[in-house]
Amino acid sequence: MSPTPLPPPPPPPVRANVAAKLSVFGTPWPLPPELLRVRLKYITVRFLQMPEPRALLRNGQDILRWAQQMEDDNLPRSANELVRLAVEEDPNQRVLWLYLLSQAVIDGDAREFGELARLFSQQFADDELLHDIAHVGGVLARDVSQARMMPALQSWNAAALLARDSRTQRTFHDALLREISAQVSPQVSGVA
Amino acid sequence: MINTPTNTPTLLNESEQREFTQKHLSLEVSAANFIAGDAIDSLGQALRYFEDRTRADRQHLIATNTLKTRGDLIASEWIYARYQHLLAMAFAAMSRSFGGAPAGRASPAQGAALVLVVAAQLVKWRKYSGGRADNVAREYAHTALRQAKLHRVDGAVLTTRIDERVHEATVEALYLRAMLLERFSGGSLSPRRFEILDTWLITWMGALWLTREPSATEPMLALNLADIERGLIPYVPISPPMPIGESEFFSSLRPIKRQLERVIQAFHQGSIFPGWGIGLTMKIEEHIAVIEFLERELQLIDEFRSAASGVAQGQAKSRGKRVTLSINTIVAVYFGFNEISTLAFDLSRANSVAGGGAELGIRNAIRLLDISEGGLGLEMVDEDARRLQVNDLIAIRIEKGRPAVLGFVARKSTLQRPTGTLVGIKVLTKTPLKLTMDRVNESNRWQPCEGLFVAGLAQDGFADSVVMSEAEYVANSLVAVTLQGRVHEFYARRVREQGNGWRMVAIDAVDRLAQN
Repeated sequence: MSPTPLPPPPPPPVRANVAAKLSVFGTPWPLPPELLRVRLKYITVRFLQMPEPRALLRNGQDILRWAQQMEDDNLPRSANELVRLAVEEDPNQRVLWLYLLSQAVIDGDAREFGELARLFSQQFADDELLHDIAHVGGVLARDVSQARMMPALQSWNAAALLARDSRTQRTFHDALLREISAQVSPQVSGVA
Repeated sequence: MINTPTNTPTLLNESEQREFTQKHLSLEVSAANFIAGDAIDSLGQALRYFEDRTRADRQHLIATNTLKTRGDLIASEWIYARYQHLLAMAFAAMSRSFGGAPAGRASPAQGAALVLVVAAQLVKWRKYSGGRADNVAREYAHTALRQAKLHRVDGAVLTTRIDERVHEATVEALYLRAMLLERFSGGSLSPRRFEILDTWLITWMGALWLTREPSATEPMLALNLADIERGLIPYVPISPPMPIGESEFFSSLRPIKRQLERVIQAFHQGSIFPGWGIGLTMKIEEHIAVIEFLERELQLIDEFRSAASGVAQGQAKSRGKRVTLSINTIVAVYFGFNEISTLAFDLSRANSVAGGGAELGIRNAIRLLDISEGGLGLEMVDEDARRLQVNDLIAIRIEKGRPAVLGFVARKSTLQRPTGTLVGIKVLTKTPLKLTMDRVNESNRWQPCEGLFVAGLAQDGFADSVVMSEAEYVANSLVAVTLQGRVHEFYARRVREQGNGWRMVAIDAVDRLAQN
């Protein structure tokens, strides 16, 4: 009697296909070299002072800081674009996903939020925030202004994620305005 | 990158230009005797012949951007005049065609399409030749669309030739392309960038349409076909709503925003949108400048609507404030960081309109030509203007006793008068504050330096900046300054704007005592 054959070994764990992972926002990855060259040149020019875009795009904190600065310059669309490029480069940058989710709420775009939430849940299947995200999404679909006030959201925006010192900046700004008012002739009422 | 030909194309010489002009005059006479449809067809062929013969010249003139020779300027004006003549002829033929004349080889709708194609070219060449704004293209375009709508052919898809390519478009889409070009022609786009914008608009024509009803919830442009003084203007919802007039139409900005996202998406995927046209030969920087221009324009229209609707009344109040100044007056101008920090803030000069520029060799008086919230235009003698570069820092005292406006040179363009140059200034602030600061240098010691402070609009202070000398700026260096008798510290962060010898950097205030 021949011995019972051993059960086949379990298949090795499937590694996520890097190419598929990176194509979160529709860029077919990997790009052929000539197309990649145009993409990188575009990023370098669009976002000044980014000599090594691929390396920098993988640094979530730097990208977040940059995005926040662009928001400060009243360039929210560019900030959003930069963060998306960074997520495409490395989708494991969780803080950047949270930033995009918070922006979708600020824009009142429930459809965009839903799509981001779906992609986030694929990328971070066991994330502790999935429940909160679903909750915010539900509220956003019903009432945008209520969604914008939700406490969960306050910890997802760039300022919170970067732990910026808003109080000191505000103090500086107020002192600057007072100094300008004091130095400028009384007829001048507007600043900036 | 610009495909600079090894040999500069020979501009049509004077006799060739005269010959062309004569041909067009003869055509005008003969076309009046043709059946209307045949006249439209002949004029279409004449336009094609003219554009084929002048293509190399036109591309050369576009590539030279703003720095034109006298010959270039004359050639631009001649091309502009030819388009004007062709437009008048096309309009006459179209009017006869819609008036019930026998159709002939081309339909009335094709006549309207021809008028709109030439009107768009006229808008472009008026801009490139430095011509002043007028109502010509708008009047013809309004009438062409009104006639097409009256005869219910505005929605018919036509095969239309625009310069060297054939496109499928409706009369309405061709009208919107021409009017959007007209709206954006007042902006700061150079000829190269304006051409890129046009290739985008041509590609987007399938997504451009007019509606009879405005939307209160989305940004829209409005137009009145009976009003030749205005083209597309931002729509402001009125409460209670007024009845919509017969000639009033609306166009949503959403399709344009979506199309712009397509352009950006194409770059993310490594392609240059739309994959044809003069833009393929231009640097990516030029395309990005157009993206940023459109983003700014769309945002401005959106803000205007919100402000006018009362959503952001406070903000609109300060932004919409017009400056009451006498235009065409002589102003005091200071050039470069050093001269500005030394002279522009000198109280003894506050009541003088004598400016600086000694180091640069500026000799002649400078006049203020126009002023808006974000920019102003100066008229300088060509010889002086040549000493200035784009991005040079500049301070202008417009009124005696008031602070000098701080800005930088955004563009230079030839004025129609022979020796004048229009220098466009982007304003950084109307109330700069000069202070002596201390910064930590490379040896970790405090070192004094000058700073020109620019208070941003954001109330949280994160839009505040300081303009520093290029030599003094070190990224992320710690800086201290005394404001209202108290020392404040900040890090000099990201460069927001920059030019020769200066950097405008973001201020990141820090409370080191609290941190410790």
